[in-house]
Amino acid sequence: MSKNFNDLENVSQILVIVVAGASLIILFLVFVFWMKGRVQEIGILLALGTPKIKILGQILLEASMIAAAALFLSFTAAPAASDITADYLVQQQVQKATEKSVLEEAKVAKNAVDSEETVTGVSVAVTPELMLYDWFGVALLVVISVGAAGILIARKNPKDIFSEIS
Amino acid sequence: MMVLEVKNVQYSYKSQKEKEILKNVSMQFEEKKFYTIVGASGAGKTTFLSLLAGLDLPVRGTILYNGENIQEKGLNYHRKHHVSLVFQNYNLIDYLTTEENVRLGGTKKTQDLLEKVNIPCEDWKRNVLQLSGGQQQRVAIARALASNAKVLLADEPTGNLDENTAGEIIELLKRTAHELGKCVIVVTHSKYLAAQADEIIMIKDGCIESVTELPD
Repeated sequence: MSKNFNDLENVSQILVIVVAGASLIILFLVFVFWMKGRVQEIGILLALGTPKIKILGQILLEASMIAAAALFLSFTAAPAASDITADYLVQQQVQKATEKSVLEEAKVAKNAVDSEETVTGVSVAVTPELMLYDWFGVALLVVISVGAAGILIARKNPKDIFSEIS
Repeated sequence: MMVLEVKNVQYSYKSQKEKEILKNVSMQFEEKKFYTIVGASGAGKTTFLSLLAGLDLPVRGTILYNGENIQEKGLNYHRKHHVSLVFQNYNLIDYLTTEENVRLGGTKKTQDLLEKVNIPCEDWKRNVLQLSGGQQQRVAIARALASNAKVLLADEPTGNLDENTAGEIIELLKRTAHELGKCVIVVTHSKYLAAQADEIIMIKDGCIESVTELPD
């Protein structure tokens, strides 16, 4: 049964990578639309002499505040959610193992030896190390996606922006 | 005293390099003077103003502020410290209050400026979109005055306003030039506004056709 849990760990690692990739694409598109929605404001700030780097910094700050709130919520909800998920998975595995042993007992010649240890529960904890990894990962995602979307703004001068608006 | 100088400036769009919008334009602007730039649509008035504002770069020629090429310190620096802008469509940030919009312009006392442009104090904390067109334009002028810039540039500032409100805005711009000592340059189609200036600059087909000095 522990083999099943090892498989689960591999699957979850792949899942994390896939989710991170998808998040990057989604975040990039979100920021592109976000900046397009605020193009007049960006044009005004540029016309008033605000440096582009400061405007991007402001957008990054706003995005970071939303990300921080999301991380706080996720870490608050994570222990409870993972406890429920882990209990469910253990129950499933226990049920499968029981069904398997019943089938084994029903055989005439029983050669199988129960070599696997029995798993009766899983303890789940969000460690500070895990939190750090998550903070770093989310920060990296936000910075890359804001930076990539920001290139669209960085290439334009305020006159182009006002021409686009009008 | 001369504050802004345009020397042999040429401009064409990147996509249409053969079509010259401004052809070898030269002009000098002084402090405490109110200038209007007039001409037919497409003559190059707004492009000329954009170049003075550092919103774009000329293809050839130079623009000098107090004798220094504006590209030396960068266009951002020029826009932040040397010039302030007023647009036809006000260009205020729609989710900010009146006061917050003025504060974007610089560090000067917001409330004094709002008083100066006759915005009643009950409107200072209101969202700027709740103000009338004339009030929004006055807020835009207050924002322009909030900076220490010596030059105020305005593109059709009365274009969206009725006659009475336009008259108030013109008075405000005149006062800005004569009482605050700024160089005010306004692009306009309005003959009435043009006639209020100290000098009228007529642009035709990308060239300065005439500069008319008007008596006080």
